[in-house]
Amino acid sequence: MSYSHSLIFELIPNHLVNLNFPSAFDKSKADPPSLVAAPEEEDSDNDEPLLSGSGEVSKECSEVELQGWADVLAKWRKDLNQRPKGLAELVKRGVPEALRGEVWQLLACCQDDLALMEEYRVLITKETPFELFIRKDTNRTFPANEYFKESGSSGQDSLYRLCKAYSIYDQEIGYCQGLTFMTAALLLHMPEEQAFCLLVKIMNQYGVRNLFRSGFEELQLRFYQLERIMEDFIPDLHQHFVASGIEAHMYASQWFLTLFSAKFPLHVVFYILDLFLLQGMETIFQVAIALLLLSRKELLLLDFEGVLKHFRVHLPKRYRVEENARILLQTAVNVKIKKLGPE
Amino acid sequence: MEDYKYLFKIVLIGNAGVGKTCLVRRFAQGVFPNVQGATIGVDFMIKSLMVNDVKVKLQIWDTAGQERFRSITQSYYRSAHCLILVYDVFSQCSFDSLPQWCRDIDQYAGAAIAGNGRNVLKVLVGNKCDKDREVPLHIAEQFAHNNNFDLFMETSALEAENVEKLFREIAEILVSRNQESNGGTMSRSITSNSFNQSSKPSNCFNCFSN
Repeated sequence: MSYSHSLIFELIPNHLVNLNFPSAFDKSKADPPSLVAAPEEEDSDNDEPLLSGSGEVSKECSEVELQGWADVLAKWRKDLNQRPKGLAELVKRGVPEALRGEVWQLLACCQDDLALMEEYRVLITKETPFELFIRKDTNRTFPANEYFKESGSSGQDSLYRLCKAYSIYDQEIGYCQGLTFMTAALLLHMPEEQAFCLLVKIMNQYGVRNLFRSGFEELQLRFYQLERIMEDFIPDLHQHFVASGIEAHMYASQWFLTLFSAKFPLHVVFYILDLFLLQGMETIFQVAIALLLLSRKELLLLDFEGVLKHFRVHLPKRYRVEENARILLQTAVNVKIKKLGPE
Repeated sequence: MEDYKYLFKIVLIGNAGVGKTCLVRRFAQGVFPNVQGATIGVDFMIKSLMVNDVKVKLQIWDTAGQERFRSITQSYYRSAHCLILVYDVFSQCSFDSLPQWCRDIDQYAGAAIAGNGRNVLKVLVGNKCDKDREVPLHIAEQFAHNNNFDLFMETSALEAENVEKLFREIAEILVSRNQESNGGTMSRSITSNSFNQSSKPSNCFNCFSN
């Protein structure tokens, strides 16, 4: 498949009819808050990218916040089909780490899917043609995290079983590189069976599996959308990228295919999953635009190589600071993208 | 204007887990990562070196190895000056996949450059030669010969064996080809970074004839 324009234009009439480009974005707020300098950021010679699964996630949460969550959860548990009032506002501030396992499943409406959990127990006894691939990748996913870093650890074993089960459950997709990262993030919050149910929801109802289908056709559509949205929100940076020959497929594949879980510190990965499970695919665009907005000034000064290096090395590092991760989250939720097309 | 004379694009391809990223990182950064996560889509690194007192910049594109990513990574072949096809000497399976990769190269890289009278530089690399081998050296040499590879080498990214040499030889060949095609006068290679061949016909393939 090529990246020819003809392909993209063929796709537009079918898929982009509902894409209203954002007009609600208040240009006066176009200057996002400044990020604080991350430790070691001055050490610019350090080209070592972050390992996946890096960083500690604070379990601290203010009493006020916890009380808010307690009230909302109490209402929610009474009627699981109805998201309670005030939920969205709470999620947009980040779900407290201690509650994530439950809240994520509630958001995706996949708590207590006993039939699917039972199916999982059967699937893990079967064989997959992807065994070698999955083994290779589970050995190199979240090496910076205690639970996954040792070969043969229970974390790696669980991750292997989950990816294997999914590859048999969804034979069209099978196993695709990238899935281990997102799956590992889920496993840090819930038992395997529940993580499997949530993974199935993310892939199907949230539409992530479509990105992997038919030679990544939809992924390429998403790249196109991202570039158009960028043109609207950050025209000078878009122009700079065009002039420098930088295209979304050069930096954004893993943003979409792993939901930002392959390069960013864990607290960022979890924040993004909070938002994603609340709102869906729109979140990826919001976070992508927020990342670009927050790095705009530097990116404008960099050339082709500098930009791609920034994405690979420096961008994930600056969000090691909790405060920056919060700024990213707030900037992302303020990016108003009305409608993204096929849901 | 940067201070280099030539800019060449190199694309690494081959099965997942054969060590493509480790090769690039050993060469470009001098490190061997203990754990290197799977490459999703493509990754990019740059390294400059001197060839005959001339500064050459290598733009190295590292690609995801899983078969399904080929629809994404193939678009990078066409603008490449050099394709490095990597297998793992410790994995017969990765060697057995080479014919399919060769077909891809012929399909996506061969035709694009043929118009210029110069094929893309094809390099075969057996990585992880520090380990016990499953693929005998002479079999791989024969394969490289039969499939018209311009260069074959066994490397170890772990022990830094032949890695520098590999990229240096590639740079030397590309420089000398470029000099030949310019009648001995060296000129700066002008390279568009775009991969969108259809919309931008003036791409880097012209650099051999400018």
